[in-house]
Amino acid sequence: MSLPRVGRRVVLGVLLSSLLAPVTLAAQDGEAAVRAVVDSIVAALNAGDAAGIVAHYASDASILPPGEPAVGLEAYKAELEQHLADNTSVFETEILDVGVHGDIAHVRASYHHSLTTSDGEETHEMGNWLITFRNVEGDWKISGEIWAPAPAAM
Amino acid sequence: MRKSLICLLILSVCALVACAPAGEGGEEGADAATENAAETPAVDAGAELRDYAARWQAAYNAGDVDGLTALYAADAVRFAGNSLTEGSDAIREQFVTAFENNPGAQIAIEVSRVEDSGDFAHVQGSWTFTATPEGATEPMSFTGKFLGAYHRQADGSWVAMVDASNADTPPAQEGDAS
Repeated sequence: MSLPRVGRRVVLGVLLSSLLAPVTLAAQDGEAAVRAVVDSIVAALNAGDAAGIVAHYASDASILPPGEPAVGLEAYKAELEQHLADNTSVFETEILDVGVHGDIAHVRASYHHSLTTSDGEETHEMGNWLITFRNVEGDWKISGEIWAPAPAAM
Repeated sequence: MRKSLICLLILSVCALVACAPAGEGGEEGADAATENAAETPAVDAGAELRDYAARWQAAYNAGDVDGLTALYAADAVRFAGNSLTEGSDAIREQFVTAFENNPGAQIAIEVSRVEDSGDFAHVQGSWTFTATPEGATEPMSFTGKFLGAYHRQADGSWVAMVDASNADTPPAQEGDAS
C-alpha cells in the first residue's frame, strides 16, 4: 500500500504521538473515568437507584459516614435502600480535585443535598466529600469514602 | 451547659483530627519491595505509612504544631467536622487553635487499610480522642475515623495531600436536654 506523502506524515505523526503519550493518556483516561463514576453515583442517587450506586464500589469498600461508625458495602446498601425509599434527594456536587496515580485515584468534591421526606419536610446539607478509588481489572472501583457536613455560607 | 461543652469539644475534635496512616501494607508495596530488594533498600509503603501515623500521633500528643505541619504537603487540604482547611499554613493555624482550645488532648490512631501505587497511597483508619473540657472534672473520649491520600516525596518521607475525618457520633443538637 502506498500512501500519498501528506498521508504518510499524518500516519507517522499519529504513531509518534501514540508512542510518546501513553502515560499522559492513561492519567487523562483515569481522570475521565473516575469523574464518570462520580457523575453516575450522583445520577443514581437522584434517581433513587441504590443498586446503581453500589455497583461502583469494590466489594471490600469501607464507607465512613459522619455521625456513625464505618460501614461495609452490604450494610451501606441496606442503609441506602431505606434512605432512598423514605426520602427524595436532589444531590449536586462540584468536583474540586482529581488525582490519578497508577492504580489508585482520589476525588475531592463539595456537595449540596436537598432532602424531602415522605412527610414533605425539606432539609438542606452542604459538605465536603473525599472518595478513593482502586483500579480493579480496568474498572475504577470506590475503595473508601468519607464526607462531613459544613455549615452553609451566611 | 455541659452539653454545649461536649458539643464544642466534638466540633473541635473533628476539626483537629483528620489524620494519617500506617497499616497492613498494600500488595503493590510488597511487590515493589520484592523487585527492588536486590539493589535498593526495600520499599514497604504500608510500614512507612504506619510510621507516618505513629509520628502524627506522637506529634499530636506532644502538642507539636511544627511536627504535625511537616506531615502535610504545602497545598494539602483537610476537612474534618464542619471545616475545610487549605494549605499547610492554614493547617498549622488550625492546630495552634485546637491545642489552645484543648490543652493536653490525646489521640490514639489505628490504621485499618493502606492501598498504594508507586509513590502514592490511601490510608483509612480510626481514632479515639480524649480530653478534659474546661469546667469538667472527668476526661471525655470520642471516636471517629479518617481517610486520606498521601504522597512519598523525593527524600522518601510521606506527606498528606488530602485528609478527612469525622466523628462516630452526631454532634449534640442545640437545645437538647441533659
